[in-house]
This record gives sequence, C-alpha cells and structure tokens, in this order.
Amino acid sequence: MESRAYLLPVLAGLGLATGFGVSRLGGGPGTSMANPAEAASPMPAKGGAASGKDPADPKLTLVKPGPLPKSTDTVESLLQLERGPLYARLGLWLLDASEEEMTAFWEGYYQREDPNDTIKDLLFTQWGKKNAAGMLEMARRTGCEIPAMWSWSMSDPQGMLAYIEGKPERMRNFGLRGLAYFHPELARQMLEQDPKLLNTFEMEQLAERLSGGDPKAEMEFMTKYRNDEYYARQGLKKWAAQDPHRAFEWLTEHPGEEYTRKEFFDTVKKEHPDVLPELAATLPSGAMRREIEAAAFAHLAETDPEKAAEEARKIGVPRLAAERLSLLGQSLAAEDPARAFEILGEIFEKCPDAANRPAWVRYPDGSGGGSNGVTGVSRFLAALAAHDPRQTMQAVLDLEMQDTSPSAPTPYHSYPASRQVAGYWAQGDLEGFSAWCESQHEPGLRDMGASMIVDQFQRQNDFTSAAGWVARISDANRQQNALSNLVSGWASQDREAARRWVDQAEISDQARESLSPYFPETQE
Amino acid sequence: MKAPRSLKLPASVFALCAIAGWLAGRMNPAHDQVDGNLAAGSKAAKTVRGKSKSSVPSEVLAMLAPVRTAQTTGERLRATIQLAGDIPVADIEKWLSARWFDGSEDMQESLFTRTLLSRWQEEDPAGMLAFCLRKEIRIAYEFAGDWARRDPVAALACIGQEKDPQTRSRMLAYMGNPLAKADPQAVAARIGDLFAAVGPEQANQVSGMIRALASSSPELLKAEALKWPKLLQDAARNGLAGASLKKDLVRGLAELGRQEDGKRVFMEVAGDDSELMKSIGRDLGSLPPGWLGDLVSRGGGASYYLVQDDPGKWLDSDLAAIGLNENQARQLRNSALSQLASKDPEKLKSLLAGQELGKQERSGAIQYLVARLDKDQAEAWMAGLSDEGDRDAAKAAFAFRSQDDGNSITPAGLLSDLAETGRDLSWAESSVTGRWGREQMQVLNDGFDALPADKKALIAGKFITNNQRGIPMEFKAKALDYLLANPPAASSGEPPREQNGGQRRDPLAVAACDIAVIWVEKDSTAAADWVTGLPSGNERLWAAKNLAARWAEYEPSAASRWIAALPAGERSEVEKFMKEGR
Repeated sequence: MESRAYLLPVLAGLGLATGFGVSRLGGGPGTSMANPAEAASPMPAKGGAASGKDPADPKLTLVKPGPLPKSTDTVESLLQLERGPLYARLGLWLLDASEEEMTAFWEGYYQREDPNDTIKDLLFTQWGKKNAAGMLEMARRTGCEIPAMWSWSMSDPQGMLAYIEGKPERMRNFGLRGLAYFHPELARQMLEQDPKLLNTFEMEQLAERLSGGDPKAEMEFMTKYRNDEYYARQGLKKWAAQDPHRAFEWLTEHPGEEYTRKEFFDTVKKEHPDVLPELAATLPSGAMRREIEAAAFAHLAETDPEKAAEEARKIGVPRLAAERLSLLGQSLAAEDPARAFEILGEIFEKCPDAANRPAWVRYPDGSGGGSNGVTGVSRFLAALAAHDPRQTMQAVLDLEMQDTSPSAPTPYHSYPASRQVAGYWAQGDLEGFSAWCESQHEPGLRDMGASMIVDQFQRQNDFTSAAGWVARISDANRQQNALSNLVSGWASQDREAARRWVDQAEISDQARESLSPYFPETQE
Repeated sequence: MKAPRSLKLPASVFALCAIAGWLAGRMNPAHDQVDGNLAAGSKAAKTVRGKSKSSVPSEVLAMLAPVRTAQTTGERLRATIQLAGDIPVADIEKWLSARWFDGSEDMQESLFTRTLLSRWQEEDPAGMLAFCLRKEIRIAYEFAGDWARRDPVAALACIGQEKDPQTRSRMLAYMGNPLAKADPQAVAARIGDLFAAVGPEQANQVSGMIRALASSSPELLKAEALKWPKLLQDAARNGLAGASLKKDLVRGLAELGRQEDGKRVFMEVAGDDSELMKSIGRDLGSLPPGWLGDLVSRGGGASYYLVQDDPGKWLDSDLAAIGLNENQARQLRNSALSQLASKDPEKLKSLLAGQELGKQERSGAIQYLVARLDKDQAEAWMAGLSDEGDRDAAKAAFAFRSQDDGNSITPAGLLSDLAETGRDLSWAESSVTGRWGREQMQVLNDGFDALPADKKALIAGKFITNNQRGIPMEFKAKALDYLLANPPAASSGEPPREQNGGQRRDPLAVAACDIAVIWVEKDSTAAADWVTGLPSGNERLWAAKNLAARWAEYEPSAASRWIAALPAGERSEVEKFMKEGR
C-alpha cells in the first residue's frame, strides 16, 4: 500500500472535483446529500497531506456536530454567570427569548457592579431585530442610548442612520462603528459624507471590517485615511503575523522608519521564523537585509545558542560580529549567565570599542554628528547588569583594562562600557551600587560612580541625597559640573528648597556665585 | 484480509474530499440564504478569506458543515454557538490562527471568537493571553481584565515572567488597574519587584497601578510605600493626594496645606487630571491664594481641562477677580478660544465679528477656527472676511492645516504647495514621503522634472536641507544633483539655508555627506553608484569619504574595491580619512 501512497493526492483531487461538481449541478440546499458530518465521522481524526491538512499541524480533533442546540437557561440562571461563559449562553438563549424575557434579563443585569458592554451589545442586537423601538426605549431609560446605535445598526442600518442625522458626534460615532462592523460599505459612505468623524473614530477597526480580511486592502485604507507611521507599523505587524510574504512586499515598497522595520521582523521572527532567510535572499545588501538577518540570527540564538555562537564567530567584520554576539548574549543573560559572560569577552575581542564605536558623519568644516556604540551592546550590558551588576562591572572593567590600543579611552573617566553598567546598576539598586562605589580606591573610578549616583538621585527628585554625593566627587571640574547640573534641575523643580541648600552649603564663594543664574530673583 | 484494508484509506480520502469539494461548491449559495428581516442594505455572511478552499482540513469542513448548510440566520447563529462550544480546547489556537471560521453575519463572529477565547481562558489563561497579544487580537484586553480580577496572583506572576518588554507593557496596560482593585495586598507587595522588572520606561504603567491602589486601599499603600524606592514613593504620595482631593476637594487641600511640599504635590497631581481640574473649576474659592494662577502658569493640561466643559463661560468671566495675573488670564482665555472653536464655532465666529478680542487673541482665534472647521466651511468663512490682517491670519492657518494633515499629502500637492508658498517641509510631510510607494515616487520625480528652473532650485533646496532620515534618499540625491548642476547662486531661487546655528557651512557638501551615510546603509550599491556619478569637487570628495567609512563598517571588502576604483587623488584622501577619522 505504501508504494501507492502517491495515488492519494490524485484521489483527493478527484474527490474534490467530484464533490464540487455535484454541488454545483445538484442545485441549492434543498437537494442536499446526506449529512456531510455523518459521512465524515468514520474518518479517524488524524490524516496526512491527502486530507489537505498542513503537515506542520498534525493533530486536529473532529467533534461530530449534534443536532442544533436550544437554550435551557432562564433569566435567573443567566444572571448567575460571569461575563465569559455568559456570552455564549446568552447568545443561544436570546434566539428563543421573548421581549419580556429580554427586558427581565436587562433589568437584572445592567445594575450589576460590572455590567459589560459586550453583553449589552449582544442583547441589544438581538432585541433590535425583534423590536427596535422597544430596545431603544430601554436603552434610553438605562442610559445607553448612544452606544445602542452600534447594536441598532445591525438590523436596521437605514433607520439608525436617519435617527443619528444631526445628532452629537459621539452618537454618530457609535453609529459609524456599528456600520463598520455590520455594513462596512455604508460606513465608508458615511465617512465620506462626514469626514470629521475621522478625528475620533477608531480607524483600525473600520479598516479591518472594510477590507473583508484582506490585510493589503486594510493597509491601503489606513494609508488613505490615517497615513501615519504608528498605524503603518501596527498594520504591518498584524499582517506580518498572518502573511509575511505579502506584508514584506508592501514593506519593501513602503519602507518607512527603521523602528517599524524592526518590529516587523521581530513579528516575523516570532510567528514565521523559517521565512526570514527567504525574505533576506530577495534583497540586495543593505540595512534591511541586515535587519532580517539579525532577526534570523536572534531566532537561532534563542533556539540553538551554540550554533549561533559558531555562526557569529565566523564573522570577521568587527561591528557586525559585535551586533550578532550582543543578540546572542542578550538571549543567554538570564538563562545561562556564565556563557553570556564568555560572549561578552568575545565581543571585546572582536570589537574592543563595541560600547562606543562611532557611527558619525563628518563635514568639510570639521564638524559632525552621529551615534556611538554598536547596536545591541547596551541592551546586552543591561541584561547582564540586571542579572548580576557586581560581576558585570568587574568583567567589564577587566576587559576595558586589556584595551591597550592607542585609541583606548582614558582609564575610568570615560570608559564607556563600565559607565553604562554603572548607570544600570545605580538605576536598579542604588544602595548596592553606592556601597560598591564607596569601596573603590581609584579616584577616577569613585568619581565616575559618584556622578552616576548623583544622576540617579536627581532622577528620583531626591536632590538632598544627590547633593551629598556631589561633595564626594574629588575632581574639581567634575564636581563643579555635577553641582551646576544638580542646582539647575533642583531649581526648576523647587527653587526655594534649592536656594536654601545653596545658601548653607559648604562650597566656595566662587562656586556659589556660579550658581546664582539659577535664582534670578536673588539678583534683583 | 489485507486487500480491504488497503482500499479503505483511498476510499475514505476520496469520500472525504468529495464532501469537502461539495461543501466548497455550496459555500456561496448557502450564504445567499439570509433572513428576510435583514434590511436591504445589509450584507450576508462572507465566505472564505483568501485561503484556498482545499487547504481547509476535512475535520474543519465537517465541523463547519452545520453552519454552512444552515437555512436561516437563527440556525446559523445556533450552529455557530454549537461549533464554538464543540471545538476542543487543544484546537482553539489552530482554528483562530487559520481563521477557518468566516461567518460574519449578525453576531456570528463575536459569538464564535468570544466563546472560544472564554473557553480557552478557563483552561489556560496565560497561554490564551500570550496568543492574543501575539496575534494582535484586540478584544484580549477584556479577557485579560477578567483574569486579573479572578486570579490576580496568577496574572501578576504572568506579567513578572514575561520577557518581552512590549508584551509586558501591554499586559500591564490591560491588567494593572483591575489587579490593583482585585488584590491590593498582592499588588502592593509586588510593585517593587514589578518596577525593577519593567524598568523606568514603563514607570507610567506602574504609577497607574499605584493610583488605583491609592483610591482602593490608601492605608495599605501608605504602609507599603515606605519600603519602595524614592520614585515609587513619590508616585504613591501623589496618588494618595489625588485620591484624597477627588474624594473631598476641601479636605484634600487642607491635608496638603499641612505638608511642607504640599503645594508642589498639588501642582504635580492636579494639572493633568481632567476630573480634578473640573472639580476645581466648580469650586475655585477653596484653593489657597495664588494656587490657581500657578497651576495655569505651569502649563500642561490645567487650562485645557478647566475650560473644557464651558469655554464660553471663561471668556465672559473676570479672571483678575479670581486671582489670575495678566499672563495667566491670557493663557486661560487662549485655551477657552481654542475649545470654543471645536465646541461652538458659531459663537466664536460671532465673537470675531465683534471687537471684544485683542489683536493677538484675534489672530489665535482665527487660527483655531480655520483649523477646526471643515475645509469647505473654512473657505466659505474666509471669503467673508473684510479685514486684511484677518485674511492673512486665516490664509496662514489654512496653509498650515493642509501641510499638517498627513492624510491629504500627495506628491503633486506637496510640490505645488512648496513651490507656491516657499515654506519648508513639515514633519508630517517628510515622514509621509518615506512611506510613498513606487507610483507616488514616480509622480514626485516627474512633477519635479516638469517644474520651471527657479521652482526646481527652491524645492531641491527644501529637500536637501531636511534632516529627516525617512525622506527617500533617491529623491534627495536627485535634488542635490540638480543643485550641483545648477548652482543656487546662478539661479533665481532662494539659496538653501545655512545650518549649524548660523555657522557657515556649505549646504551642498553637508547634504552630500548626509545622503551618502544614510543611503549607503540602506542600499550600498545604489549609494556608491550615485557618489561615483557626482561631478568632481568638494561635495563628491566628502560624500566619498563618508560613504567609504560607513560602508566599511559592514562590508569592508566591497568598500575597499570601490575605493580602489577611485581616481588616485580622491583615493588617497579617502584612505587618509578612514584612517584618521577626519
């Protein structure tokens, strides 16, 4: 039998064709065959490709549908239920409920501590089908007239539209939202006639409904009515989760901002990691291709860190190697910190200036601008510091001391990686970091630590503690800078308190004088 | 015995697929049958989405059959509810991911999705939430809130364990408040850990939980906050003050009055709280002298919220009598005029028709009105203005309005507007150009080519001096090419502005460097070809230096090959630049 397995798809195809033909020739539902569910039921709930199933989805259970259900609930039994289970049970009950019963349910429900809008919407849609006037009367009486437009739009969109003509924007908005859900074309017309509704309307919902499940149409709609990077990003992420190939086509055509692309590739990484190499292969070398490769590498780092390390080790280009290793390090920091510290060593070996490597543009007049540090290194250092700040600091200081190249920074003062770690440590555990700082003997290192502590206290609006640490900075210039920053920030928050402190602080007259611009009225 | 077994599978496959095919063939007709009580304009249920019908598994087709063969809306709803109850919990994710269910008639879709999510949540709330967040299923927030209320400990643990910061932030947004209400004790005990885990970027979400604790369990919050870092202690202090002010404004103010930094706390708490500002507006007399004025001077939302409900009343009030100085009164009236433009444009029009407004207020009011009216209405109103100053203010506001409306920016419209007004590109405009597709870029290129020389120079100057990274580099390069071939001094167009705080810089060389570094990151080959094609000179040399240095960061071999092909003089300059960094 195995040798004839190839025949199964053929049979499947024939079956599909036959069935399709029968249904088309045989006419409407009145001439239906035996219950298809019964015919299907002997088939075991497993199967191969012949059943048309995605092979990656091996198990799917067939539950044979029984006769159509009828509710056995009562108003009382429904009112006992929480929102989750209530929704389906109410839905079924409403199919046979009289208007009196609906009234009884609503009177018991709407005064509950946590009445829920979705329950109200369900009730009012079904009530509106039976007697819109009765439903509206009840909605008015219980303070829900405006949101009831949503429900009414389902069964009587024209009646609802006539009713909300000239009514306040909020009511029209609910009406529009209902149309978008039940009758998208009417919503589109309403929006075209009254574009002011765009200002307050949740366009994403309308786009979703109007596009009938086609994400491209959704993106086009959003681009037309709300052409904004945030919505583009949200739409693309959603699309990427559903259909990465088509979404990617759109992205390459409308590239947008780097952050949007990052989020896009992150989504593909989470939902369809296997697709990433295919996408990368379609592009020439450049930022977007590297972004996809980075996402694919991040996936490898999460699933097979050793293989990822091996791949990263092969990279000879310092920046690229440091980027990849940082991704790997980040994913290892919490689970396998020992290995993550080894990766940190590898980063410094491949790219000694990874924490401050410049990416600058330089102009003919000698000026320029740009950013410092290889992408991902800071995040990796933060992840390590979150795990064990003391060990991270020591590891980073050891590595920095090994850098004896001519371009190496002055010890301690401007070591970029240790400064970053100090910042993360101070932010997460100020007390621990302060203790570490006090135990340091090298003045440059202590000063760097003290400055970080000052910053941290300032961020917490604790200016008095910050002032205490300013006094402990030994380098005169550095101390003066910290003092100016402190007083400037303090005065902007609470000038009186800052002035009181300056007046009694043990600082030189010169220093006091330099702070006077922060207290303009003292000069009057 | 073997022969019948060997026939069984193929026979079943054939039968099953025949059924599947039969169902597929019936999909549309079945859905054409809808209840007569649906209005003519309404739409019947839709059929399959995009997905090829044959890829739907047979089990699914079999389970969908009652929905698809139902004769009336009522039957379809019944069958939908049954289906949503029948799908095994283990299969819910597959059903939702594949979107096999496609009924959208009446409340079908809601009933299907909400029932499945509710059942999944009963079994595995964390798994269900993770799925919804991944798939951007919006209604997840309702379910997340329910879970937080029902099982706060598990929900808190789930947030704590989440590694992805964005997902964690959304979990906090969905569940923070219900959690704080459901189990203040557990939340208060975990807030320190939670804050440490989420970091200061999500401090807002944590502050929200603290505010919720402040209204539900103030005593507990006071006690717990003593153990927290200063930032959270401040959030607790503010939260408590806010809750107390909302509960009883006079009493809350008296409590603050007794605290050393009570006024500061009041300023931090009240200004951005709409509810509180409205209650202050109703009871101005309860504030200590000077507090209202300071609140207004502080900016933020204070003036906005104060006047929001009845802006007209504030325009008619004697603001000096309530203790506002001239600046503060001006600020508040400005806010009221802005609100009046949205709430009652007719009243604002009649105010403008009279002489009550000062010169500055008048021009502000015109701006607000033009910005808020419909385009046609604004134009009609502007046509009736007789004062020249009013007309100019309205015209400027109208131009600003069109450049800031991201939805109406088109390549042709942008070019003609820039050419006509000589203004700079707005942020929205430069951002939108980065998302334009091929067709729109073609229109932009063609439109630019068709402009007269002076306008070309003008617009090219606007593009090359715009620093937004998103602007399509191809077009920026084209603009620079034009200016290099037609130097601004020789054309009648306005020369591009100087940059760097007035310091003299050659804007063309600056643009050449900027384009080179941004473009080489995006598309190294295209950028390199562009630099190669530039005319010799300072711009080309500096573009080459920057391009080579940046390119070598990622593709050193390709960069080296390109450098090797440069003319000798340039090559040595570029090599020197790469070595010395300047």
